[in-house]
Amino acid sequence: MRPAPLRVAAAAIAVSFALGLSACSAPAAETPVVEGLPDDSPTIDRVISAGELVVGTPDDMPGFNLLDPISGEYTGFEARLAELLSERILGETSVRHVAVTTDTREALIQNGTVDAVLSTYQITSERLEKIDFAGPDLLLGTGIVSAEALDLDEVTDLSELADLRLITTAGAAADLLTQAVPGAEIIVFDSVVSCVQALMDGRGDVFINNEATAIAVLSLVDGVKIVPNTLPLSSFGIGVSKDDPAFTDFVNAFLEEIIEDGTWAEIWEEEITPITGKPAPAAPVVGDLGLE
Amino acid sequence: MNAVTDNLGFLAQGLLTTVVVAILSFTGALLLGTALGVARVSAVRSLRTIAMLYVAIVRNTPVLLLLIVLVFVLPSIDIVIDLAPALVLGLTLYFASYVCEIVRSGVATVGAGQMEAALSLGLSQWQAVVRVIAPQTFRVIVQPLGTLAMAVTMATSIGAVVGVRELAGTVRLLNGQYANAGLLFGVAALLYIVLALLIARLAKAIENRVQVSS
Amino acid sequence: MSTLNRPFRSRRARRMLLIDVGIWVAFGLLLAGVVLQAGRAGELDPELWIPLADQAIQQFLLTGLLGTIGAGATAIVFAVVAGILLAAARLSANRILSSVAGVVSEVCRALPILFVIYFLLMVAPSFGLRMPPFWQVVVAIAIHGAGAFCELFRAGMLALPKGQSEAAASLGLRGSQALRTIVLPQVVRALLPAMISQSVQILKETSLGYVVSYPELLRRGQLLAEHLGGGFLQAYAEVAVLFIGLNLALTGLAIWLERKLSPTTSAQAVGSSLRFRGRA
Repeated sequence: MRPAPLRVAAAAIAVSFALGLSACSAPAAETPVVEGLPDDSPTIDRVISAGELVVGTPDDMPGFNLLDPISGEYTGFEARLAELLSERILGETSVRHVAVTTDTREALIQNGTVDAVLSTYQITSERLEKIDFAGPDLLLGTGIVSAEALDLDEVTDLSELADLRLITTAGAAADLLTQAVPGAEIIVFDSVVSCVQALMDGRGDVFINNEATAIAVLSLVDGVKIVPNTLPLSSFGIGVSKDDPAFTDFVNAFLEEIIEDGTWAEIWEEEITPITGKPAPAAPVVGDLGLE
Repeated sequence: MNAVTDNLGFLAQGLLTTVVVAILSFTGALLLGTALGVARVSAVRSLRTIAMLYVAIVRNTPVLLLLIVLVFVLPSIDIVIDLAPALVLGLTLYFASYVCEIVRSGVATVGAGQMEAALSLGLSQWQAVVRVIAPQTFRVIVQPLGTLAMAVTMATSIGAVVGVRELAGTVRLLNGQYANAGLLFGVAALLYIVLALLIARLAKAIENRVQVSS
Repeated sequence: MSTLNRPFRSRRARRMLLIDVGIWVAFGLLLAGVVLQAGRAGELDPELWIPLADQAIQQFLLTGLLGTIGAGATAIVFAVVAGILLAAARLSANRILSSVAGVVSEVCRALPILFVIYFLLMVAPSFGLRMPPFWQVVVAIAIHGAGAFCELFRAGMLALPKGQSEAAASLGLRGSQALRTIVLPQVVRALLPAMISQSVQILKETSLGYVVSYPELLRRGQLLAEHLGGGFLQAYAEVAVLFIGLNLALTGLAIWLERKLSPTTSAQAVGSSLRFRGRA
């Protein structure tokens, strides 16, 4: 009786090891087909040898990075940007999405698990200490969603929200609010959908996020409305490693290119305009990170 | 270090929330679990079955699922529970099933013989339970309950999923701002380990106090 | 009871019956109340439940189930093996070995699994330790499980009547030989219920894989619920059923195994002493 279970256990371990290893094997390496790529960028070398661009994105941002769980396909503005970027490097679209959350974004860039992060990633000086930003790729205002019944005047300053219960997703929105409106009750959830659900359940008075997400929320549920505001725009960028300035320059050049030839506006019209109903705004100025 | 030193108050609040939630949940689980344990061994057939059903269902679902159901699913049948109470309720309901089993095993260990002996000595059923069975059961279950208390404390870390600002959630928020995962999560892990060790010490102390040399 | 006369017995029996019926009625009313509430809130509308019949959706969830089983089974194997080794080390005569093993197993149990996952996700890669989500989940759970199994095996080996190891020694078997051929088989046989209980625990702990978006059942349920919009209840209902079913099946397997391997006297002694420590 003794040898048999040991053998079975050993076989089980071997099999699971093999399965695990196969799960992390990379697709076949490809020779670069694109001319003019910088040769001093480890990130680009990695992308080429892996044959795919690995991007960290969320799954649940309508208009930016939305995953259809059944088909496994991503739609949205930043998803399309990632595809274009991969095409720029590899000559064809080859993108692998790695799910990131606001906790894990910087770490995954720093440790090289992802080549870039596109997740309505707000540019802040604290983050710039850890990683670099290419872009900005987006300029967005703040979006405030409330129940239809709630009567709020146009918000000109965040401090006006101090008496309300504010729902938001983890990340820049949350700490912006914590700093700007210290007295307010701020409730933080992992995902946009949880936030919306909480708003509908009456756990908070308003849901705060970027304006495109806010508008997308309108299309998800009834009984909510947008509270107009004149809060300043924020800059969002593509997160990249601090240690690869060649790659940062490369992505910046890529962004400038697509802004100039109109592709940027085109993707906006295809992915975000259907949600907001507004045409593409003026493109951001690449290199102007929006910090004082 | 800024991430930690600038936010000591914030972190302390998170730690306090963790401790409070853990204590409340553990207490609740003890009360509900003991009641369930009693029901489980009761002479009333229906109580036994219902308690068994409860344990079978709750023990076989992840605590995260239970919590998500309480916070996100119940509202769809018009039952909305506040977040922090929902966390405590979820942990209580979940760990009560474990307490039930611990109590049941404890009573079984003490043995039917004790009950019979007590009754034959002229004690009423109530007296037998309170003066003979219960103290011995308590002595026996201190250690598994200590392990459970540790588990409850660790489990509070899922509170962030439902928006409760306990230690793990606080650390995640700070990390969103400072992007210093190693430091922040390291500090939090240390705090959890310290809590676990404190509980272990406490359990040991109680066990020693009630120990009778056998 | 035989000393009580008939009229009393039937009176008591009747009272018990009334109590029984009363409780069942109360319970039934409670359930009916919940169902009615659900109906009133529109959650019983067929159109909310029909998407569940979609094959693509079922496949989506079942991939999650397989993910749970895969990570769970692997973690169980590693945790058991590591647990046995740690327990043996703890019980060894070598002082240094046993105290080191003691510290290791205590640390393993004191670390929240969530944090080990975070560590493996965010900190470890900077030291060159990179692994796919599957292994991040498995390693984190296995570490914690190793501590739990170590405690289990240690208690089991200690509870084994001294006579066994003495008999083994008298037969000339060395320590590790005695362990392998005499002690371990009996301990494992007696510990089976507790081991299965811990394994069920491990299967449930895979749900923490949501942090690394590992495609296990709960995460899939979450994604599905969000995808279906209003369908939170329906998606999670199925997830709950699948989890309970999976774990009940595992527990049932354990009971069947326990019956098949008819325990020896020593195993029974180990088993009952473990039940009292609340581990079975």
